[in-house]
Amino acid sequence: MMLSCPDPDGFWDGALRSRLVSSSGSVAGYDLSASSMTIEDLDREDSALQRVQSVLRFQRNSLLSVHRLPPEITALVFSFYVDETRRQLRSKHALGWIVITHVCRRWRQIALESAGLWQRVTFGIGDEWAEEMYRRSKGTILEVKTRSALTERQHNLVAKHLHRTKLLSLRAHPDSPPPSLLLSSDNPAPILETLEIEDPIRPEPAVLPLNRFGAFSPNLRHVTICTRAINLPWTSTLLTGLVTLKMRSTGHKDMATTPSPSLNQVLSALKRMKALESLELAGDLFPRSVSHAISKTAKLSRLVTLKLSGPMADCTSFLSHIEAPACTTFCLGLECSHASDEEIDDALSLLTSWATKHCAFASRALRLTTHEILDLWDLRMEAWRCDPGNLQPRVEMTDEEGDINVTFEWTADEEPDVPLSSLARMCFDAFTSPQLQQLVVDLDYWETEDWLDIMPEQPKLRRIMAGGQAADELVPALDPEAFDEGSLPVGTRVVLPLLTSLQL
Amino acid sequence: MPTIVSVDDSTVPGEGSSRLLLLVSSDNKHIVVEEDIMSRSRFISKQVEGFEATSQRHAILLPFSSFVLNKVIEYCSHYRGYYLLEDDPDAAPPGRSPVREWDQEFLDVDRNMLLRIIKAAHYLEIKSLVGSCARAIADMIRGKTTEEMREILGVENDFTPEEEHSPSSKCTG
Repeated sequence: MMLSCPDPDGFWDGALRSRLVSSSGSVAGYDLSASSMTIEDLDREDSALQRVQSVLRFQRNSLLSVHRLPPEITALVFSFYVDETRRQLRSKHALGWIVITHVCRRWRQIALESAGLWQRVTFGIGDEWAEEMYRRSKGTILEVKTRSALTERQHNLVAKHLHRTKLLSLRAHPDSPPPSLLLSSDNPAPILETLEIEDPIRPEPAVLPLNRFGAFSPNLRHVTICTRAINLPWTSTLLTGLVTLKMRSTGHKDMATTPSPSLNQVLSALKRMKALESLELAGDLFPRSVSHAISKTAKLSRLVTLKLSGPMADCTSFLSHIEAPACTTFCLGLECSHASDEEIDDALSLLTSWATKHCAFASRALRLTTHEILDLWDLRMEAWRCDPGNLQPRVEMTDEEGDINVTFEWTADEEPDVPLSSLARMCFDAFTSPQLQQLVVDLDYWETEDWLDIMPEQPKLRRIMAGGQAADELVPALDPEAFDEGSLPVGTRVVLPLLTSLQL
Repeated sequence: MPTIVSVDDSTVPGEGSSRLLLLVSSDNKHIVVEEDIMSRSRFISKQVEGFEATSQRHAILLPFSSFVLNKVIEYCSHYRGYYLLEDDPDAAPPGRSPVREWDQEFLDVDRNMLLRIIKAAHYLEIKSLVGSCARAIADMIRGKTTEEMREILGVENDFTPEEEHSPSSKCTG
């Protein structure tokens, strides 16, 4: 567009004089003394000028390279920006990325029209905005996560759009309607893949009507339930397609008003989960004193990870009814603080027998987590040390590629009252193997001398990852600069010809 | 339509059977490049398919400078023979480009150059490069305030006061 007046100074000077004042005055060259305009008049003039200014700036911006990018490219930039900003700010500032809509008119327009940016609805800033985000997301697939109490209006919104929700993560709040109200046959969820429900505080355990919901969510693959008592429809077809199942009971089963599932029920359901790759069970899950009467075993042929934590007796009896591939990673956290010596003996016996039978400890990675297992080992360390053969054969077995990786992962928040360095050493002795190729150790629990002593026994060790304060002591002895060349400096006692990675 | 220019259908010495392409930049620089290198570009591939249909080889005129074109050729040369999912027309629509360390160094250029490269990549339909550039631009403005973003990009605030205070501007999380 061509301006009708080639000289902007002349044009605006004329406009100003015709609207307001004569020139040749003391205010920026204008004489305002003769003006009879009121404040309201001047405000209107000012608003009009600001609109003109906005148009001029918009026109100027449109000539910039960044504004000449095709809208879809700008939207792609936004998607990178939004993803990373969401990741950094977490849910606390879930809409921190929205500053991009404040930069200029074009960016705002593109952002508002990019439905994908609005696919993760945030509820923490009020009903109006939740509705606005649903509207902006148009028909795109949604990921809905709530961490604060849902108002009834927001609850209705979630239900209304469940048909296009791919991920639904609900954290219940005493003031919110229970999540179970959402999951009914009135709200089909045909594309729902991930369902996470956390309701640890409601006095009554959540009763999930998933038996009715199941038929309406055929694509459900990942379920995480964290409630006072687990009350899943164990016979539902909903469960058969699951790839991930995580269940955490936050209440004590004796206190729960809804009965816990029987081990038999769970095993029957697991047997039907042919695609299950990740299973996590935590808390008081099953009624006790029933496992001896059960003869069935659930074979989980695709299981990659099994995490089990809870009362030792529950865990060990559950394990005794599970068959898993040798490549499965097991994470065990066994609570034994209230167990009698007899119960511990029984549990250990069962655990050892199970491990030997199923060769599961020959897996490529064995992670033993939580401080409970340290307690367990403290109690029975003598037994383990006296009979390391219980463990040794399992470590020496190889997988298909001939590799064995044994990983100890200590995650104790508080240091248990046990001699950790000697405990760790004993555990290492029990599991160590000349075929060891990767070692993960928190050196807080190790004496440097202990660490160096075991090195010559590991000629094939290729990777060390170590953390903790003692890593500082290790560095002078193990010069990481030399590792790439295949050996350590002269004078050290360790030669690791295959070592290619050291992470301290 | 590309201008018809006579191009020898010769092969590169010592490089086997890769044929040559003549690319002409907006500043009228003629750049000869192996067809194999530019095969990552869907635009170029389609042009070459057109050549084969007509048995005539044309120069390909491109609407960006030789400086930018050489950067794109450098990118394509680096990934010659590499499979990048984003550039596979038969693959399902990929997610966003993963972080590639070499790309980050390659795109450590000033804002204007980065914008020119992404436009060229978009024109040439090299999705992997478009994705990497988009990520680099996003990195450029990440963690900045609105004012800082405007300053980095040379953008003026073109909102009217009403737009600036509209409901959509209040949603700041």
